[in-house]
Amino acid sequence: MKEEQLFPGEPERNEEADRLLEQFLRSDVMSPLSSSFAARVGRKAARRLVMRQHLLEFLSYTAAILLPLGVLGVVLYFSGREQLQEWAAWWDTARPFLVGGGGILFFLLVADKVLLPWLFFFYGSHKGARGK
Amino acid sequence: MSDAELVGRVLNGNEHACRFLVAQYQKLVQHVVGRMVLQEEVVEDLCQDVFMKVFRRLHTFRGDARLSTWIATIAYNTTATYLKRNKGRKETSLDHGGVMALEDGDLPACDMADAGEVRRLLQASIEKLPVHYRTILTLFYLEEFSYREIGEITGMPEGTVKSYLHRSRQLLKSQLEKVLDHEGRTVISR
Repeated sequence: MKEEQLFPGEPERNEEADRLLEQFLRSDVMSPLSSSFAARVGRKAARRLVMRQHLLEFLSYTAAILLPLGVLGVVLYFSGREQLQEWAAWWDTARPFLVGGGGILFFLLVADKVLLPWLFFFYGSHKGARGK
Repeated sequence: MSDAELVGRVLNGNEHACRFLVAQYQKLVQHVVGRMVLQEEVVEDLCQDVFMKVFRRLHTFRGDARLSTWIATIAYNTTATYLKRNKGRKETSLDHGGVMALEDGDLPACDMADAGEVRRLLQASIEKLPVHYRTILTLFYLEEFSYREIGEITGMPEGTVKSYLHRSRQLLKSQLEKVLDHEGRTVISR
């Protein structure tokens, strides 16, 4: 029946072409991404975001510690050489403690939160890639 | 969940929110990338690149536009950059040469036995269109973005978007009408 209606009429054929085209353009003809895509990309992104956050925290703490030390150093330098020598003597005595404390602080702020997760992350990605 | 809420959770490193964002927008990204690139083997990798860029730049999302528009813009730009780098390939050309190919080219001689064949022919015709045309068709019909939003995504003026959309539709329609002239009455009566 439809065949008979369409045969003589240009407008009907035009409408039918429009309808078919519209239907085609609104249909999803692509093959879907792998089912694990969202989980895989989401996990990767979350890890990177957390690491970036840790790195930012570390940089903030470092700046918070180093800036006052820098200011103190500059003040002492300009306030007199004698005082600076006193501080240098104190530094000689306290150096092992300060270096040790700095090491622990470095581990807490960088190694534990940035370097180790980074190593695990890249080891994990490498292992994941091999497993594919 | 609103866009702002989702963005906030993602930026806090919440893995579930990250997965949710990818699941929510993976179709959109796949449509943009898939229609621009046409090579299935690179689509998934490009989609992953797009999402990693989205997460990297998410802190710059101000909420002026919808998150979908913002993500589609990144998908469009990332794929356009990929196409520029792979200019040599026929299907990845960013120029408008495809229009001529479509206008001058003969339709494949196939037996238009059913609607599936019409779909295959339309798919082949879409693939011959220039990248901009294909992208605009996808954004308008499949993702239902407005002219203004498509303009924001592609960086084209609204008038150009309208004219490309009209022209690409006309080109596809003329191809379809050739088929209908030839054997279409049988096809569409099914």
